[in-house]
Amino acid sequence: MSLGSIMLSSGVLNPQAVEVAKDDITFGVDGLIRYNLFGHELWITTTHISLLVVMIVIIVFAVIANRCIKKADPYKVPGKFLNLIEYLVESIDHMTKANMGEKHGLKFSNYIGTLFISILLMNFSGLFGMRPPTADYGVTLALALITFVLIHYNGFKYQKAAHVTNLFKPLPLTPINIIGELATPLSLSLRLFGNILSGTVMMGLIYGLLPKVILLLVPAPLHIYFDIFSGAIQTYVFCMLTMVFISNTFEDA
Amino acid sequence: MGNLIASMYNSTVLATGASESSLVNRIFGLDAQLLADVAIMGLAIFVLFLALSYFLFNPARELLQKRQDRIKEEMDSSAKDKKEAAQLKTNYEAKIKEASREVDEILSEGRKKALKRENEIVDEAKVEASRIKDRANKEIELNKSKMKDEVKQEMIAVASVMAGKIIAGNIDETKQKQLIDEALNEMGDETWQN
Repeated sequence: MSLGSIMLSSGVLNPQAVEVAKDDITFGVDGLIRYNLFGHELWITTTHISLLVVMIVIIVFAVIANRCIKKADPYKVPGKFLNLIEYLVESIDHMTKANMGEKHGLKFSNYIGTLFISILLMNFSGLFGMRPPTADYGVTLALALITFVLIHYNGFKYQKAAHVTNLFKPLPLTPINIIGELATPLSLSLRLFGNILSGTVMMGLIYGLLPKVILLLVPAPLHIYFDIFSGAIQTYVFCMLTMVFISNTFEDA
Repeated sequence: MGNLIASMYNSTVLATGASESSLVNRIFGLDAQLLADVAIMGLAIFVLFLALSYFLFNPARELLQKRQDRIKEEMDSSAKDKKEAAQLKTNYEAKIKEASREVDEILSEGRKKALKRENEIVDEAKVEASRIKDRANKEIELNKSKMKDEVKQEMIAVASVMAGKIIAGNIDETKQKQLIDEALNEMGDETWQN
């Protein structure tokens, strides 16, 4: 939905103001480069640019961390940066072990860690004037589908046929069970998408509608709430739910 | 629901006045673009997963493991050293005990030997003393008998002198008795007792 239509339907502002706002504000995704694939017209969008920036930041961080680790002597007291890296890795390992058990936790540590770092940085990217990639459904759906695949891959791996027969227990609830399974990726992806999009829309409206002088003060606390607080909470929730859903498949075997 | 979303998408496109060959202010849409976005994001997260695993998580975990192993090793070896030290200590203590026992033994043996030697010396001294005493006694005896002989000779000499006097003086019986008494008195008791 565009800003113009929101404002017209709300009737709060006069059409002239809408015109000004419409030109200044966009909080949707814009296409930058067009390409054709299988007869469809597709776009490289601002989401992909933000995603690329986030990826580069993460990979550069990882490479620097790798250099630091390679140089480090394991028999000496670690430096500040190395401490930070160790703390990060240990926290992630601890989190996965606590949620998925000692036996399976560590296997998923790398994926959960990747998920955590990338979603967190994608959510925070709003702070740097980019459109958060997680405010694009294409991104969150992909993440949720990966979780969905992991759930069912591990379900078949650990529960074998019981993973399917569990859907029919109890028999009258079969449709609800199936809907419940299918709802998992939808709820996961829409939760993250909705939360980040709402923050983006709010910030877009505020930047577009408030006079420039007020903008020097007002957005900072809102950024703290929408980008940092909400972004961190949603990152945590997404990772937590992914871990819980996957670890459920170990228990019912 | 699909219609609603499609209409939202259409309204987005229409409201921004975009032509068909542009994508502006898109918020949500269930279309080919979504699938393409999903595929790109899937690829991106896979690349990130590989990069982070290779550069960050695995080496960091290895480092931590190495450090953990090292600390464990050090703790084990220090425990071992401690045990060895305790063993050595007990060994040394036992040795010291043994040594002091030996010293005691040597000392007591020395003391015993000394005592024995002392006794021997005393015994020898005693034997020597008794020998000296015997010799002295013998000498005394010898001197006594010598003295007796001398006294006898003197008696004989006195007797001879008396006999000479008797013969010379014709002395009566009383006078003779007087002479004998005189002679005896001259010799005295001491002569006989020596």
